[in-house]
Amino acid sequence: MEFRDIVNRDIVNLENCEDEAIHIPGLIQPHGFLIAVDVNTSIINVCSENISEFLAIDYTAVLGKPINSVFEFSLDSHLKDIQEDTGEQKITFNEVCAGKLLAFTIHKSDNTIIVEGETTENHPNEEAKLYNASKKLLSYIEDTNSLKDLCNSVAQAIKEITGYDRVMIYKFDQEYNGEVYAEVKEEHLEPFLGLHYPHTDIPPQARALYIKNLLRIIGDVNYQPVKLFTYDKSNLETLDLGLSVLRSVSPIHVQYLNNMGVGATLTVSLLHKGKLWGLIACHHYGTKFLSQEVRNTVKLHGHFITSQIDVRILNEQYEISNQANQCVDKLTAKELPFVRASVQELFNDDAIYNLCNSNGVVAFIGSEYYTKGNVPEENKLASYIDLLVKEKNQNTFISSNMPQLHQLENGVLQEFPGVLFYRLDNVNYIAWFRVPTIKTITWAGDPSKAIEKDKNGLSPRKSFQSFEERVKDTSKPWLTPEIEAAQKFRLFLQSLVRSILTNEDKERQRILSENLKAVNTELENISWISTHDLQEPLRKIRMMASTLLENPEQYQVTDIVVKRITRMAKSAERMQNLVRNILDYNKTSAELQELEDIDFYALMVKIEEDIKESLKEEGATMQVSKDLPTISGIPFLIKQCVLNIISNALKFKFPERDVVIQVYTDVADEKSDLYHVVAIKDNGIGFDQEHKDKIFKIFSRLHSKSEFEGTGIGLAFCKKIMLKHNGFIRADGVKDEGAIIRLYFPK
Amino acid sequence: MISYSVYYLDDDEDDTLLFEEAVMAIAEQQPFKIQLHISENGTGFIEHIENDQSNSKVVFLDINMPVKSGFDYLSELRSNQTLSSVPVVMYSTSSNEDNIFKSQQLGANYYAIKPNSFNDLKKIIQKAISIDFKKETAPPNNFLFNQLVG
Repeated sequence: MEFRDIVNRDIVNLENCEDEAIHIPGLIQPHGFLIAVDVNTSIINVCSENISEFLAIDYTAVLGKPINSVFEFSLDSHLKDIQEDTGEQKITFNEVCAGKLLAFTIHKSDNTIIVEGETTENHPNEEAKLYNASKKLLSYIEDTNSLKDLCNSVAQAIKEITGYDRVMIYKFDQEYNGEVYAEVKEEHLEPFLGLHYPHTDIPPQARALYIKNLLRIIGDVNYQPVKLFTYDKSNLETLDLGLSVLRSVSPIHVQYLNNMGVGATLTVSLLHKGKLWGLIACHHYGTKFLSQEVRNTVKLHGHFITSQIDVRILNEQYEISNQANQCVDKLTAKELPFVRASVQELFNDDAIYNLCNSNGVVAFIGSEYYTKGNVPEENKLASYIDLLVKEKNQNTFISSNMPQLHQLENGVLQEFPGVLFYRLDNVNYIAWFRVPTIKTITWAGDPSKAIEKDKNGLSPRKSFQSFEERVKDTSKPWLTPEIEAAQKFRLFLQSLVRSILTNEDKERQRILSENLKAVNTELENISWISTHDLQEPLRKIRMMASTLLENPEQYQVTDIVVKRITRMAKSAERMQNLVRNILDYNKTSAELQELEDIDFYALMVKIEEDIKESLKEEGATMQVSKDLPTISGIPFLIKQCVLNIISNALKFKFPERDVVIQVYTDVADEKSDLYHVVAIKDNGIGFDQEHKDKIFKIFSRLHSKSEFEGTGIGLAFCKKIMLKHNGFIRADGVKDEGAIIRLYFPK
Repeated sequence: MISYSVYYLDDDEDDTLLFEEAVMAIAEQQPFKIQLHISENGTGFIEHIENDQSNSKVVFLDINMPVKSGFDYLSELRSNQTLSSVPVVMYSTSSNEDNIFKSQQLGANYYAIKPNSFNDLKKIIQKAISIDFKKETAPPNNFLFNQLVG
């Protein structure tokens, strides 16, 4: 019979290591032997070269023989179990062979059953120790809070059980970058805790194996691989050693370990929800082999960790949530008055950015910036916020990788890749920021020195660099409880800001109304000053003048002096009228009066009675129509208004024509559907239509003083009175024929 | 009637001068003697009137004065037992309705707006000394003295 080995001789280097077929090396580690049996024929078709070291039989004597011819005991029942079980379960047992105690592992691989044997020793107290270790595990549930604490305890336990120099718990992130999450080690060793490893350190096919084969052991890194042989006619090319315990590992991995100075390893997969969550990685600086029992115990510890992940994550989230809420509560419990200083007080407290574990916080409230902690500089901040406001027209924006979503030339997104942005209203907002993760990562030593380059080009430096770049633009992700705490605080701040702004509005109104009061008081004072201090000297001028004018002989006043004094007295009189009119004009705005129903006809009758002397003097007549309306108004103002208009009619009479004043309701006016229109028509000198608006301007006069006396306030006063009645006034004139003044009172 | 006492309280020198001249002009035409008592600062003014036993007297009070206003003096007079019914004419530049109303409320007999001519002033004083205040009281709508003198 001819024999051949099935060693995989493909050359492996760094460039193709991701494609390396690590499950079919055709080699095993030398601390055990391997036999493979064809499922159908029960004929041995693979045997390791070193079987003679264990069973005193050569591989050439084994290949092509039935399995039962090799061992002193029957494997039939075990083979049957394995064959019937469709899963990838392994059967392990100890059995004495050729005077040695051997630990057997049997599992199925495609159409073969693989039987592996290793020498082992009986440890009398092992079972008791294992029992105690297991019991201890349960106590960890109660003694530890966080997953990290639990991992530390488990690592400690594994170290005590196995005696490895270093026991680490690795945790992977979404991309399978690893972090040393917990570590227990011999004191003299350098700590690896907190170090990060890129995902390329464990290629995908290795991860796939890790999921299938939960425990891998390398007893001596510097082992000489043992070849597997088959017989020529077996038709077998490769043997899948994916689940094998003795599988020879990739030379790249061996190199990797060598470079770290590691002598022996044990790796146990930690699976969570079908995914590789992490690893238990044990390093020894000499050689180290473990009994089946100890391996199983370590696996048990692994299962224990993964069983606790969900519970502990919930617990951790609860812890984070608790801390965040404590921060929020601390802020919201402050007794804050509704003033801007209250916002500042909130921003004096570190809790305001700790509440969501951010690095800093900015708020824009009432055109002012409030900041705490590490935030973008003001000019950079503006561009950052612009981006959020413009691009995302919504109330909330959450990101931990801004540079990957947007671009800004000032580099602010790279400085603060994490942001939690909330609008408080249309203009005001609050934003929490996070710096890149790179600042919080500790690398697995200097990447260029951690592993030396060798002739195979094995250098992970490149992969370290790419990892560095990837995390540079990313912050820690915002966790649900952190976001919730931020939202909670935002609601609180929102209502506080609203109250403050409302309060400020009220305060502004109060100040306004106080100013108004002051102005009104002042106006009243001005009235008093006007009545007294302006009237007084004018009256005296007239008075003094009158003493001279009434007795010119007594004071020896000549005629020319009498004339001059008369003019002086007239001027003083005009000034007096002016002052009085201004006072009346102001009074219309200063005083708020109740509106009364005014029968316009009755009012006109009364006015006619009051001024009958003047009418008689001027030879004027009034024709008051009885169809005049009843309007709502302030009697003395309406009376003043009508008097002013009549006084104008008398003043601007056409020479050699008796004045006739008609007062009637103008039903033909275009506005008469909405307004009571009272027309006052005279037959005086009239005016050009082009002046119809000018005549209502205060102090505006169409005529010189010598022609017609007047202060120029009369019609302006009328206009103001009509405005006060929610009405208006219009004047129409025909030169030399007369004027019609129309008063519009709302119906 | 042997004499008539006119009391006038006003801080304004011009007004007191004119008032004095007006009284002097009137006095020439009267069958009785008019005694004019002018005070410019109110010192002893009330006491002076109190000690005047004459039945015929009238008091003119300016309103706008420093320290104590005409209203204050009016109130003092009206609360003084012996002077509660002494005739008082409020005499002011102000034609402010509030002032007129307040004067009436406080018990003044008449309200006179300081006139613009010497003639009117004489008429006011003439009217004041011709009224028999014991018989006449100003009807509410006739309180303004100027309307009486036209």
